[in-house]
Amino acid sequence: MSGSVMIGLHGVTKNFAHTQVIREFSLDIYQGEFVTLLGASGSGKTTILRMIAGFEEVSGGRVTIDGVDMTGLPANLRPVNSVFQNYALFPHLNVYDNVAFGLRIKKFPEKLIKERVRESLNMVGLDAFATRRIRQLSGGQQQRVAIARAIINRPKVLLLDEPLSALDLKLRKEMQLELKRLHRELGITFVYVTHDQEEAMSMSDRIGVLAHGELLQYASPEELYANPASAAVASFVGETNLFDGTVVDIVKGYSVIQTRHFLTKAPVAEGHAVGSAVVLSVRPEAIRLGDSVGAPICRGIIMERIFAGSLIRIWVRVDEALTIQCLIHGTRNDEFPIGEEVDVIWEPNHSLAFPKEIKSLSEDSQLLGSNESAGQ
Amino acid sequence: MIVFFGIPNLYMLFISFMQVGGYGGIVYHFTLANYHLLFHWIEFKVIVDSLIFSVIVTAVCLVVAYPFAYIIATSPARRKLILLFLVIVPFWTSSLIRTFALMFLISTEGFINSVLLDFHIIHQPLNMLYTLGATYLGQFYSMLPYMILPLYASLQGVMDHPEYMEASRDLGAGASKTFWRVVAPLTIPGIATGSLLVFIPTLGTFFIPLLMGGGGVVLVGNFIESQFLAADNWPFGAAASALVIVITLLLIGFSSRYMNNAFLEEGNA
Repeated sequence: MSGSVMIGLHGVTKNFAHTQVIREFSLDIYQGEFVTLLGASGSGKTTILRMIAGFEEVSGGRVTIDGVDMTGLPANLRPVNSVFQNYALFPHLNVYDNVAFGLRIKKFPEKLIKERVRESLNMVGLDAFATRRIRQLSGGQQQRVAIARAIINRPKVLLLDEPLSALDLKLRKEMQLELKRLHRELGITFVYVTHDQEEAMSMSDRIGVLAHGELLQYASPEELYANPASAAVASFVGETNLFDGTVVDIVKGYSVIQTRHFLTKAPVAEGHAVGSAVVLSVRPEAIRLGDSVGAPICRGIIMERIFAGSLIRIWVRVDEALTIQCLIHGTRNDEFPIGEEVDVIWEPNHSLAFPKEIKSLSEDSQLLGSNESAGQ
Repeated sequence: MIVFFGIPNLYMLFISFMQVGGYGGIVYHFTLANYHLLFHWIEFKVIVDSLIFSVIVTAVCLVVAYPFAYIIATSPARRKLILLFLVIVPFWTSSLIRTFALMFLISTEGFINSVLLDFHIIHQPLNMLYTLGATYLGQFYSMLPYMILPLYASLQGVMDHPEYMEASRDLGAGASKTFWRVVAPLTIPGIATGSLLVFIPTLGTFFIPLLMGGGGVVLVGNFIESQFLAADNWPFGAAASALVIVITLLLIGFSSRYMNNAFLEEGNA
């Protein structure tokens, strides 16, 4: 990442009444980056955004924007603009007046405002809607007006708080592309908040994963997926199978791990020692079924299969306590019928073992699909 | 509705076109003379005076009630309850009784004068009761809650959507610009409702000018009352009433454009 730091969060804390919702939060966002704060509801991601915008004052630490300390500066004096979750378009104004609001406050001449409004509405594809009332617009159109109203002010940073959560799936995908395009064209820094890991992965230059007011990991989507810093990140970013186990030996760069159901190996990582509790993470797509190459890790019965084009999603039941989710490449629909007994295999290098955290999973294994774990 | 509202009003409209008998009473003979008299006689001044009186009372109520309603709407839950309770308490007492209480307060031998005299702030009792000012005060006092409540409801609706104010701040507006450009326009339905609720009863008021103004202040309500009861000229009184009703209906029609706009519900859809 080249360029200068646009937003700096330095040891930021936030208390509401007597609870600390943000703990010692530090993070740098560079000029022009698209950064997403990803976390379940209640993780503090929106609070961070509101502290950048100036709607909440920090309880401790500092927020800087373009090198300037924002402490004590009210929202209206900060060089940022927001797109709100429910759009917050002014219902008493039409589209044109909503978009023009910021420039009118700054007392721009009406002629210039007219030009800029047209330009902004053009960017979001709503040129023809200037005289419409807000309630005459669909959700997607309201979303576009909200974006136009923010970018017309040419802020240094655009803050977006779950802007697509109210839209249906198809529109959401369209708007994701649209936002990426706007980000490229405007060249300004975007800070995006969402609980949807897929959205975060597909749009961001970097993602900050949050839980309980703390930053778990801050990295590019590729890095997060390939090298999650903890089991919590692994389960939140993409799907994974998690197994509780204990390190019983360390041999040639691998930890030998005993779980309740099988013995396997994983690359040695920080915090591994003989006798330490770990959580083993294996991505569904890292799993192979039923081929005889290599020793099977365990055996199970195919419980359910969903054919999805080039991929087949399969649930293999080892026993009552353990079902493993697999994503298999296959084009034939008659492979792996339900009820068949299969070997479950994965390469040790495709698994990761994390030191067990205190707030970790109590069961032998848990399947955490992306959206279930998002706590929605 | 038809029995208790429609028939009496239609009957009144009907007799407003009738002639008055030599010794009072109604002679059932069509005439426009009553209306003719209204517009050409000195009585028309009464209607103009009443309109001015009502506009001023409404305006003063609005100016006083708005900050009060704003304070209620932005108060924490417990204090909000207490303040709302205080606004509603006067409704438990007849407005006639409250007007008498106000008379006691400001009369020459009343509470305010005795306190001021006792503390030697003044040496002569102030002559406050039975003046036009006292009439304004009485009307304002009795109407204030009718302005506060709709304004409060409207402001509460805005406060329940803090994102509008946040969006305004976000777009660079300070507190006062946010108020004038976002909060105030969003409370137009409350302003319209409150103004109507104050204006209409004020236009028809008769016992407050009678008690507080001491007969020196004659508004259209007093005029109508005297035509019915004292002058025994029912058709003329009915014509004046009809005119007041027409003015009222025009106002309702005009302000309903501003009242039925459920800004907030629509905006959040």
